[in-house]
Amino acid sequence: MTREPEVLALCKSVLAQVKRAEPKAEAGVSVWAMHRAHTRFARNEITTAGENEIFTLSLSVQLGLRSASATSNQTDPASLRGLVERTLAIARLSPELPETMPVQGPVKVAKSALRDDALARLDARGRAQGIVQALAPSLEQGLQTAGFLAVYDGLTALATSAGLSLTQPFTDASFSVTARTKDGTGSGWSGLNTRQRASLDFAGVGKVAAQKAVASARPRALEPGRYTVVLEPTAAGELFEYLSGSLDRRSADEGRSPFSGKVGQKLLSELITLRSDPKTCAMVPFDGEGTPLSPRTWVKAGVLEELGVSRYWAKEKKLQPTGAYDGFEVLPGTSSRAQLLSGIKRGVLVTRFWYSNLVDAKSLSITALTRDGTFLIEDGQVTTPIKNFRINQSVLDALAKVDALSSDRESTGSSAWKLPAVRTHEFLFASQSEAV
Amino acid sequence: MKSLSRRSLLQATAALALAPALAHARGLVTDSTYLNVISAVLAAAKKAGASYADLRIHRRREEGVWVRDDHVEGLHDAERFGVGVRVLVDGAWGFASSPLVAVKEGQRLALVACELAKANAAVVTRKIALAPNPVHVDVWQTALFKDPFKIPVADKAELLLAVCSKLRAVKGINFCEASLSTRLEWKLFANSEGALIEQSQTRLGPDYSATAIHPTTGEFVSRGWDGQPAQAGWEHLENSHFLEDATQVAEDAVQKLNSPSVQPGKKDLILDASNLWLTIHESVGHPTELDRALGYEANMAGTSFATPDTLGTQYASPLVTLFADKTMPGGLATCGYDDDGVRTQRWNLVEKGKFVAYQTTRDQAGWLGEQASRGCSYAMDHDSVPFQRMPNVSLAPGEKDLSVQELIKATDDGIYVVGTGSWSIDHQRYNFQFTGQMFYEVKKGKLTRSLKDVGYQSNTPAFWKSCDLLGGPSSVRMGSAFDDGKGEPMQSNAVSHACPPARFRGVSIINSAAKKEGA
Repeated sequence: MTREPEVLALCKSVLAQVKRAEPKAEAGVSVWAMHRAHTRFARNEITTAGENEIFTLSLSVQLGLRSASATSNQTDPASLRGLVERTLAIARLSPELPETMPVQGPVKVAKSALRDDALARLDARGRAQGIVQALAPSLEQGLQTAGFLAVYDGLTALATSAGLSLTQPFTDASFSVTARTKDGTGSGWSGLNTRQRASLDFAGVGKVAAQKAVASARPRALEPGRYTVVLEPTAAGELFEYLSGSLDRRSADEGRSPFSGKVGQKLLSELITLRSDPKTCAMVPFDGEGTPLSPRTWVKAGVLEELGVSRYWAKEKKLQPTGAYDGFEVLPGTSSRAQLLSGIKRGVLVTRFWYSNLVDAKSLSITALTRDGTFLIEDGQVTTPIKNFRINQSVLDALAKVDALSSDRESTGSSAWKLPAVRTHEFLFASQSEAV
Repeated sequence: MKSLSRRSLLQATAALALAPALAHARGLVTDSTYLNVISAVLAAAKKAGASYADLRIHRRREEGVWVRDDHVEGLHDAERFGVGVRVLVDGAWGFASSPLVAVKEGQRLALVACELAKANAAVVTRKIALAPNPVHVDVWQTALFKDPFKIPVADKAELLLAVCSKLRAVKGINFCEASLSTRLEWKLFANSEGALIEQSQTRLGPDYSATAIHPTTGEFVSRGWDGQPAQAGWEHLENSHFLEDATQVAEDAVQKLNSPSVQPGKKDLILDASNLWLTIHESVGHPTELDRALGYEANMAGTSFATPDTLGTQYASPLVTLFADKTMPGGLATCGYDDDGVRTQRWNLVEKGKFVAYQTTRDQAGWLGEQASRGCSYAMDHDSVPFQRMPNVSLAPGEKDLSVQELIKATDDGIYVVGTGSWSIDHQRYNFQFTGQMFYEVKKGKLTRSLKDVGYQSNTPAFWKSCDLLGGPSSVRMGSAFDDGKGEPMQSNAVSHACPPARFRGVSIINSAAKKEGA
């Protein structure tokens, strides 16, 4: 069930059932309906492939300040009746929830162009052909590959008893390849996320992964310590994800955030501007409560401009709610990739990080490991593959020391993100990892 | 369509295999809809060319209650139901799923899965061969006295509010949070060999934490409860000191905030069972997954230093025996049969320090020349492809029944770590870094003071070879990961690890807040 009228009609019929069962109740219904096709490969051959019809209907009901929510993936009349009864039963038993906010009324939101018919039509044969293309450079060079392709064709919809009615169709694809040398000393990775078939560059991803695998073979050990680094967009994305995940006004006001009392201050390099904009980030233009998402600038030229404000916190503190964003972009710089390297006497190029985790919330310090293409930079050139490192690094310190951004940007990790490569300094590689 | 009895179902499926030896199943589902779907799927798969087919009709339910400070923040009840069909055609897998459990939809899924398998077979060189497995017809369910889904959410919320009230009563506590997650996983598995297995698992995940903020510096720390999720009934919570521990947890948070920051360097480390279970999970549980070791997870989770040529070599000190066990009472991964229909078991992974075995599934056993699967196949829901997932992996206690106090008494200069904090390990499972909840300096056999900002960093083989002292059988505790991720698309697995406290020599200690640079 991925047609808009059909899904909206379903939402409205659930709302009507709630009203019939409990006239005083206010309610909201959200639906995610997707067809997912996925193909996984390893050791140079396809290992698993599947197709799924994924459907999630979430119902939230409010009886004054008593509220509850429930989800189901069943759409037959008996299951929907059961969902309504179950949700109302929990709400009736619920204590009062002071953070309950009234359901959203009608809003006007322009749909984003997030669906591409050509991507939706990519079938099993097309997916397999794309993977064969991606594997070709690795097979020619005797490498061993693993990777994953997932393609989504879906729709999200929101409706409330107060008259809100929103839909947004979308397609999405993620594709990545890891290539490894047969002797196990080299490993390279490349990947992308896109909502367009035309951007799903199987051959390009396969080529970069193979090049990195060959170039990273037989790495030498470099002493742990602080280095100038160039972080490719995927690696830089790890830092920006921790940054964006901390942009919360409530935790800052409560004193348990790196940004407590810091709005308006210059915290990062003046080269860094972090924005969210449904027109430029390929994101759904409303959040899970139906709040329209307008363009926001979170960090402007290094200055923390604003933090995300939930509807509840806005009411408590007499602020304007911002909505909840999952799409971000870092404005590009002016440097080519070669210019990012120039001037570096001795530094490190990082392809991506692995297994990051927060170790200190106050300084926004994380740990992680480099992976799948870590190279020594000497006198402005990538010269030698080096063994991987564990990092222990404050995200804020690293982004404060950025002195160059690439002019090109990539969407890795999410189609709703656009990121340049960055150059920063005194980046701490805490210890060496033997992992390839 | 005419409904089928279990006998006629088995007669229908026997067409694909030798007639199964019928077991005396107790309480098997007799819903004719399900049996009709099973029969139709298996027949359609056979007709489309499948040499093997299985399906899981799978229901997941999760109820969550969240409390923040003095109020309930949210109540949620989620349910997912559907059927996943897996087929083997020409030695390649195909899979399709749907939330609609019905005969026609099941037949459609069988055809889609077979078409996918045929497309894959064209580029597969290593044909899938399943290890032989006895046909089981059986029922299995969590041993429990009180079904936690029958406890009203209002009572659960009241309990969480009572915990928060105790946390907030301690001077210096600024914020607190508590939550309770109750999960049910029910599935009906059938395959073309005649297996028919119904299983039901109930899991309970209680949690809370207190946060203290320094009034002048703005520094803040949190202390989480050390209690663990378990596969059990409500009685698990009643017996867990959930409420009773709250005051101590809050006092610990305040104490930690006011503790000195650790000086980095090499120290002997005594890891409480409440911390060590996660280190076992990452440095033993994951490296001994066969698919990972052979490169099948290279694109996401990574590979493993524990390759097949290292079988029989030293993984740990001779004191150390680590075992897998999907039959451990209360363990989150415990069940009667895996998602290949293989009966679960216990076996050693590391025996007296030597690496002796992997975790396997039916399609992996032959890769090692083994005759049978270890029973480690799992799919988190009907939409997910079954693959190799971690069983409960545990550390055997020492022969002497030493307590953690006796480990401390035997240590001259070290740090005692309690609870889990931050964790990270590289993609071949060598270099790891963990923090904890509470840290205590050990000097000449005594705890002298608490510390903060402690992290430990090591390399898996070096770390396990440095283990020189184990707590005894009475000191064993179980820790659990409710949502362990692996695979693409990512799947969540619930798994537990039982262990005693243990001592490790000369481990690198770092300052996790980077107040004092080191390591």
